[in-house]
Amino acid sequence: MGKRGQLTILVIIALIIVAAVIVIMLYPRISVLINPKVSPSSYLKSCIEPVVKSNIEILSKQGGYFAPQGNLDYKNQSIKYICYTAENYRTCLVQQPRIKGHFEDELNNALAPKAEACAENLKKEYEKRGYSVSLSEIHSNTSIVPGKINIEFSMPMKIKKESTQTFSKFDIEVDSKIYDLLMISTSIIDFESTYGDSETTLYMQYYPDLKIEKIKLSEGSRIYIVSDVVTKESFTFATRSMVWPPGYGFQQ
Amino acid sequence: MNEKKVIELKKENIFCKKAQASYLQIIVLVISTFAFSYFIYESSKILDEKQNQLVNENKNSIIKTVLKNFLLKAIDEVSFIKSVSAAEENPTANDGLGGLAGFEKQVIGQLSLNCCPKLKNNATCQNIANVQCKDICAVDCIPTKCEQTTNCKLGTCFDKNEGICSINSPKGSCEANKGKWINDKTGNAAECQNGCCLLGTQAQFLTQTRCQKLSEKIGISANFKSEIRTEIECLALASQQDEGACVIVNGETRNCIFTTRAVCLKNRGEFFKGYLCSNPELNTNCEKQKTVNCVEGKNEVYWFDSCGNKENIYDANKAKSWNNGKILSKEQSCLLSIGNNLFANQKTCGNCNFLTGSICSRKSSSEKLADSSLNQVCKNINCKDAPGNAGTTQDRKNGESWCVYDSYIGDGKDAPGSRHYKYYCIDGEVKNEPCGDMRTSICVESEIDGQNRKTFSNAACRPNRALECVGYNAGEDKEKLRKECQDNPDCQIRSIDFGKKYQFNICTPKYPRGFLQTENAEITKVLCNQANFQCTKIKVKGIGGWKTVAGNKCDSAEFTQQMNDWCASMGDCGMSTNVLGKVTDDGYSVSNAPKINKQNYAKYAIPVIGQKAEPGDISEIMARYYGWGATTGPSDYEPKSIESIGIMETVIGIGGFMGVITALSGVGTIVSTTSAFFAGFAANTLTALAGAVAGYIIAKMFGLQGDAFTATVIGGAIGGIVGGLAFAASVGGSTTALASLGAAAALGTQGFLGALVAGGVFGLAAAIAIMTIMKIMGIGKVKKTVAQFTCNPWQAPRGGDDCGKCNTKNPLQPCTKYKCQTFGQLCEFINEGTGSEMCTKVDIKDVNPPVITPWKELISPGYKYDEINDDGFKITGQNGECITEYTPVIFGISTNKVSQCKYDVVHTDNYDAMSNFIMDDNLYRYNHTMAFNIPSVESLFGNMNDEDYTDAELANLKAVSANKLGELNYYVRCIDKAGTAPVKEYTIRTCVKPGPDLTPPYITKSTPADGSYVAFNQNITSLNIWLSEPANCKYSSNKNKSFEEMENSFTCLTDAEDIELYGWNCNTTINNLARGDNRILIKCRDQPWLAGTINESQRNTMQEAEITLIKSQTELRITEISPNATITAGTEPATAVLKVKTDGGVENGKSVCGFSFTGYNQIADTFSSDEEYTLSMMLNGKYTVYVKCIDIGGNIAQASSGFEIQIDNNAPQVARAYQQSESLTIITDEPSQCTFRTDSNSKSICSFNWENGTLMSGADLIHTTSFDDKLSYYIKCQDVYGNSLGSGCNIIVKRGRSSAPQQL
Repeated sequence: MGKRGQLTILVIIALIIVAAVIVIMLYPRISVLINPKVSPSSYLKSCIEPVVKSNIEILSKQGGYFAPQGNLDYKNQSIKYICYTAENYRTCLVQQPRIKGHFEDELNNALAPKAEACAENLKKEYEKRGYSVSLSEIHSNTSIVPGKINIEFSMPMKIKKESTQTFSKFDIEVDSKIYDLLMISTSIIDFESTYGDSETTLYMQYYPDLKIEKIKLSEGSRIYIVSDVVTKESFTFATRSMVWPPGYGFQQ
Repeated sequence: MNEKKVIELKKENIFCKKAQASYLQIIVLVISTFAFSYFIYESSKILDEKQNQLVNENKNSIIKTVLKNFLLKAIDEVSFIKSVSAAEENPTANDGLGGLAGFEKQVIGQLSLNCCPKLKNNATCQNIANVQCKDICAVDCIPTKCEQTTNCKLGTCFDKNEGICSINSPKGSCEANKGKWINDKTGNAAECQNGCCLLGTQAQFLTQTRCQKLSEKIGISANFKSEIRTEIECLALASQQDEGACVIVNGETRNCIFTTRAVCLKNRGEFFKGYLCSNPELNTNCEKQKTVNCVEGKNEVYWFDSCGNKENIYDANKAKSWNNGKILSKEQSCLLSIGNNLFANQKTCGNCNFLTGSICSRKSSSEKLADSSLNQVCKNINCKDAPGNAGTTQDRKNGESWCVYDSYIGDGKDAPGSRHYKYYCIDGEVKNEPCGDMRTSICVESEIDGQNRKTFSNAACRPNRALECVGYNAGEDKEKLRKECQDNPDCQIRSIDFGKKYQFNICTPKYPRGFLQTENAEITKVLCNQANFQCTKIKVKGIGGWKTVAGNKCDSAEFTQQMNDWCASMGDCGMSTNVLGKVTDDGYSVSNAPKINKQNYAKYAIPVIGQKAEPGDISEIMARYYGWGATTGPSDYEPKSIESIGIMETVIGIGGFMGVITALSGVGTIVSTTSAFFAGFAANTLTALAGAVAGYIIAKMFGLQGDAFTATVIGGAIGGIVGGLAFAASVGGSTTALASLGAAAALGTQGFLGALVAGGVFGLAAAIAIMTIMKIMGIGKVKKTVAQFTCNPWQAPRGGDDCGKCNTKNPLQPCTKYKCQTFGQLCEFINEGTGSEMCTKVDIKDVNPPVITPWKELISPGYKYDEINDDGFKITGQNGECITEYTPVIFGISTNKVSQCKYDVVHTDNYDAMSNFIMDDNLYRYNHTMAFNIPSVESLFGNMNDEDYTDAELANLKAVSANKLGELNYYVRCIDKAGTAPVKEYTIRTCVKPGPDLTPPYITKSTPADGSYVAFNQNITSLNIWLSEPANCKYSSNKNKSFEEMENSFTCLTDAEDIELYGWNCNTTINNLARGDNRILIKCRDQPWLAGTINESQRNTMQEAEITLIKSQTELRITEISPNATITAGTEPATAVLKVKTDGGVENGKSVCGFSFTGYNQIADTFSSDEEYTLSMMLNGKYTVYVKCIDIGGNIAQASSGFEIQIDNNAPQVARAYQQSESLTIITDEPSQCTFRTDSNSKSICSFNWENGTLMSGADLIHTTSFDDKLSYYIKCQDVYGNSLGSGCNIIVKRGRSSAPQQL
């Protein structure tokens, strides 16, 4: 084999490697591209899931708010006071009564544009394959339930090629333990607002997968980090309740 | 031989006139005995209080002590006022709760709380002080408490969509969040009653609505059990659900999933209870025991079949575990433990037990199963070698918690900077939760017996109730003090013993709360100052030599030791150690008693193995809290003056003894009648008293004290008896003088009076003679040594070489701002809240000592800083004249960096050799206030007992003192935080203008203050006033009376050394207080040492001052207490709202109320009478709540109320059902709401959720709906507490031929 032949083989091998890397990197999209039977649910899930997880991560670190107001700054992180009192010797007032509901609202608002974009992309993928697609107004609704997050895409869609298929909505499920964490947090808030502090070891004894860290700051605020030891998901929030000031009760 | 006389008693003699006169005399004599006794006793007491004069061998120390007192007290007052101002500048949102010290209450009392609907930091519905509104409230404040406003009223927020409740939610924010607001802040609303929701294999403790929503979302029918009332019961139920194989036939294939019946039905499968999917009888394609794994929500290791279905608990004995394809219960499965070895069968058994510390987990390299290919194991989640106190370790069980401390704890010796920590063992890891910093909460621990006789520790951080301890000292009831103090686990009774007259108990904190060194320094100083104490050792020269009659330990190291222990228990005060064992003693100063060894306190830096705080009763939080005087301590241990009751007893004893002898003599010799016996006794007693009075007058006139005083009075008494006897001998006609006295007394009034006069004359003569002897011998002289302990905030060691140790000491016990500051004066806590916190030494490049200059902005009007140079300055009047005596002058010095300053009036070598902090203030400042109010030389020596000195010596002493006062120098040094101080002294020169005192005294303070209230039932009160200079004071209720005309006198302290915080104290008792205003008009006259001298006219009398005390017109009454009947709740523990209505008293019922369930003396918590108090954690049962209210006038009202808490766990029952025309009516046995479905809806109708039924009208006992007799009605009822039958129907009304419905 001459030098030219060897060079050709090397170039071919290099191209194969590059192609393989590209295939590996872009597998989900390519799988759609190479799969003539596009599964709308799978496509939407693969499109929305990373966004859901990144948004949950942000919300979870900030007490369920993207832009928390009435917050505590700790380690360069803004954490929402879910229960707060400026007074000493008083139990806190609940500042966010619907922790889970508000978390869903925030998540829903953040996902809505992305959900729309995913649906539009899906439409384009079909159209590239010669389908004629009609897509009505898109709505997404997020709900948090035990073990998962449900995203309901309400997107009446009709695709037509040789035959016609009609879809009205798609349900996407993303595994998450955030429901349990929010419920435990609600319970902790009940304790804080009623008795001023919570006994976290009891929760951990009841629920072996649960870990609760309580950080006490010197001015009386507390930061709770409620996490799942298996999935490592966590929810962080702040409270200020039943504060006993230093010395004999004098304020700064 | 003597002839025996026969005495014949005749009845008429017994009642004759003479006899009657004798009886009257006897009665008068007996009464007089007591009257005179009281007179002498009281007079002696006053005399003793007045008699002591300053005698000190060291002439310099006289001046030093007096000047120091003047300086310190005057400046203390300035600092006190500044402290109050500081609090006013930083008003808090605190609304005067019981936790505030008395003086802060006063400050806060001037503020009012407003409601800020939204703070600038976006927090909603916050009560803030009115003065803060502009600064921190984002909107306009509402001038009332948030609880009173519509939008901020607290209640329960119910999320209708989710069925989740949030208690303590403001109405506005609830509704803004689309919640339903329920006017109930107890969490007892029906919507919020939790029960157990069984969903598939899961169990959750939540509301019925929430259960239903979850069921809809997950798609599994839920089984809601409202009768389950606790989370732990609910979790236990999860494992009790029927499980089995669910076979789903799909064509030829028989698939199988192992699940619950509910899930199986949802999947339209056939359920085989108790079967494993691999059971051959099911003919599925699942093969048994292919893998092992953990299961979510379960603790054990399980076998899994080839279809991925869970099987039984792992056992290396496969056949036993498979159990012929049937479920094998946990109890029947293999045993992990053998005896005490909890993991004996770890390799072969997966029956983990969470409670004993094992759980299914991925195996590590050290854990192996019998089958090495398997990866799961029962992992030991107990904690081996868990850290404890003082570097010890101990194995701990999973879930166990214990306390770890930074230092020794208790006995008021917790080290500044130390903290309590709760450690716990979870999942094999040791975690910790720091309790409140600055020991605002403490770690308490208890142990329970666990398995195998091993204990299991439980620890918790709970609020430190140290705040309450000092408050217990208020009041007179010692028993109450003892009980309250003992009942509070965070207090201890401290027995103080400085010798005779200085023995008392006080209640002090056991775990003192800390202060931040750099913040609130003024306030913490005042707090530490509460343990200031002045102890006076009094020695009196008696016939046998000098005798200590009070405070024999006052000048000893024991005084300092006890005082420092007391001081340190107040907080971070006094001499103490940081957690590194570095002791500093800047926190106290003591005069006239030795200092104590610093190293005695280093040991308290080390935690002690086995020490732990008592759990106590967390429900008892502070009841009331008052401070007490800064200089004298609680009123009940004010040392009493030397008692002179002994004199009285002696006089009566002598008189009585002589009387008995006289009477017996009379009996035996001359008179021998009953009347003579009594007359002799009485006459001798009276003559003794007459002599004693004469002796008393002489002793008082010549200022005798102690034994001299006693001897003179007794001498007078004996002289009186002798005189009486002599007189009797002359008139009694008897050869025996003693018998004659009885006879003379028996003769009648003339004889009696004669004996009395003779007794008085003889007594006077004897007293003069004895007085002269006593004077010559120096008997009765008094020496006082006043030891003064000043308690100040503890100060961290100077410098900052140890700062870094705070970061590295123990990662589980992290450094905080508080701890950092205790490691050194130069330590600073940086990057707070960033996660990169660090304690670091402030880089000070300036190594020069502080430079002192006059504080030019501060000097009293009319004075100036003069002759200023680098070495000091002089204070003079505007024209360079000296300062007039008794004129307070305030001035100050500034330093170019933060410094601590000391002064002395004599030269010293260095800073540490100087004994006095400026204004007794050890704080590091830029500006240091000073003040003085120099007394006249006359005032220093005016009351002096000059027996120790000859006239020449005394004149010399006065001259020296006058000279020193005339040109008095203060030598000052200041030291910076790094410990650099100048060698050279900075001199402040003063010059006091001698001359006549032309300034009248004035009142600086009074307690009670002008305009104070007095309780309705209070008829007397003590009144204390403090004066700008020593004086005598009088008062009257009528205006414009001269000083002399005023009827009532104060008892005043007039010695120079008697100066207190506000000056010289005078006190009296005001009697017969009338309802309404009681005006007390006061005049005082200075220079009391001039009283009765030819210079009396030089005394200055103040203008009439008026103090009005207002007595309540009516009693404070509790008119209503609720709850007073049965309260029904749905869950246990329940809550109830305590309300008290009051009227009368000072402010028409406004008062602070406290309650307890054990009695009026056990008040546990307080609340305002216009507020509600939520009683939480109430269990089923009967209660009596005891309420005590007190208003600002001290009116107290108390009442009790009985009530019962009943927990309603039962679903409502249908008592009757009938058809009436076209409607169906049912009657329930309790108020409830009923819903129904008919058989047109579905088949298995009773499984519907109550909410999903059609609501019948009527929310009480009667419920109706239209009735179609072609249908069956499946009816469910739910009471107001959420109780229902769950999956069952209360009644099924079936269709029938007749119009009457049938019941099943």
